[in-house]
Amino acid sequence: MPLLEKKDVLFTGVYSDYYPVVSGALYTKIGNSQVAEDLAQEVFLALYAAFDRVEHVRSWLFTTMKNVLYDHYRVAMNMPEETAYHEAHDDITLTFVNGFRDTRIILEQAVESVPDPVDRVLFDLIAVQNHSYQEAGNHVGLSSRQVRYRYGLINRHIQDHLGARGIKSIEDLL
Amino acid sequence: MKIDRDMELLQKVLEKYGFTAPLPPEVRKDIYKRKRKILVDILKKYGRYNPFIAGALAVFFFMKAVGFSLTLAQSAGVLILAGAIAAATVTSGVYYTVTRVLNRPMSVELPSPPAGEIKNEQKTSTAAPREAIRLAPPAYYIASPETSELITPIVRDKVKAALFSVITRAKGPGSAGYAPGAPAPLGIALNIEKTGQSFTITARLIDRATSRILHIYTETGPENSLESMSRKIANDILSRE
Repeated sequence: MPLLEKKDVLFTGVYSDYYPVVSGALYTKIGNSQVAEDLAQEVFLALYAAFDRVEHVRSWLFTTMKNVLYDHYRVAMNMPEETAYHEAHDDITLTFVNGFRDTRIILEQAVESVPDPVDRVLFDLIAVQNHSYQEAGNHVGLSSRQVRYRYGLINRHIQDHLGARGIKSIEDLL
Repeated sequence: MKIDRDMELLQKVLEKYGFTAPLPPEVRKDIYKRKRKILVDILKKYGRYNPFIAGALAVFFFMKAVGFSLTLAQSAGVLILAGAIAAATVTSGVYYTVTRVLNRPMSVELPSPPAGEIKNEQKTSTAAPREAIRLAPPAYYIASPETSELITPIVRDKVKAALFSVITRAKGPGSAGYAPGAPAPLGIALNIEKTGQSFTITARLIDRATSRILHIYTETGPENSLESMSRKIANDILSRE
């Protein structure tokens, strides 16, 4: 067996970018960093096992994360299956009504349209989880200046996307 | 700045529409701190963790922390390169040190001759140049006499060269040498003195194993006879065998 396989190389790159995103998202759900860490490890163990078959790493990770959460709610927290399912798969969009829901969907599409996977990770770390530029840079291997520059481009991309949907000024959404 | 303001506004919009889930600073730190350990655990579980990958991971995470995004394969390359440089540095360091120790000049401590028997006896420094390339272990080691204002290196070298040439002509190439570390059984310790216009060459034939002086040869003459005096001493030494 070779000392270093192609799978190890690819998996390590994916893990390095997505671990903080998945682990942070799990912490938001669970509120316990130790449990979040264990569940994140479970998600990435599953990713390693299925790595050759995975095409869209990000969506695969979030789907698996929800399944792992569902099992956790059901087994470790003794929740009824239905409650566990809703807790794990809750759709925040449903909490918004009328025009607000539409705006949220447009915003979601704008965020999803960020083309570069690393930029998407940066968006999750900085905008969603409130990492500093330096902290985000440490995860993806960029300096804080580079992260700040790229984050500026991500913002511009989202605003351009919103502009194409008729939202000319971001202030209109406030 | 407009960009900063736009970024701030977008952040407010994201907060309003429930996109944000800020993590406490200690959780963010914890995630970063435990990241590598969890990866190691995953690789161990699949039997993919070995010392090579451990080294490559150390480079991989170090480079990420300093703002360079390398793949694990590139990190392994850096590790191999760094290892090769370290090995070359250590090897050359050891080689240099060993060479220095082996080539360190040695000095021959000579016993004092009986009082009044030998004039101008001196302890002879034997730090000799390494100009001789020997074909075989020499029989004679010719130690350099000390130089001074009166006895210049030219005078010294003339005497040494004459001795060397007579001995090697008679005994064959490589039979005499200047390297103090060579295993020559006999040593020739030279002393040159200048009194007025005349030079006195004193050569002591020494058994190097015991440091015992076997014989002392002395010749006195003007500067233009330095070579002939040296040759005579060399012939006297050879005729003693």
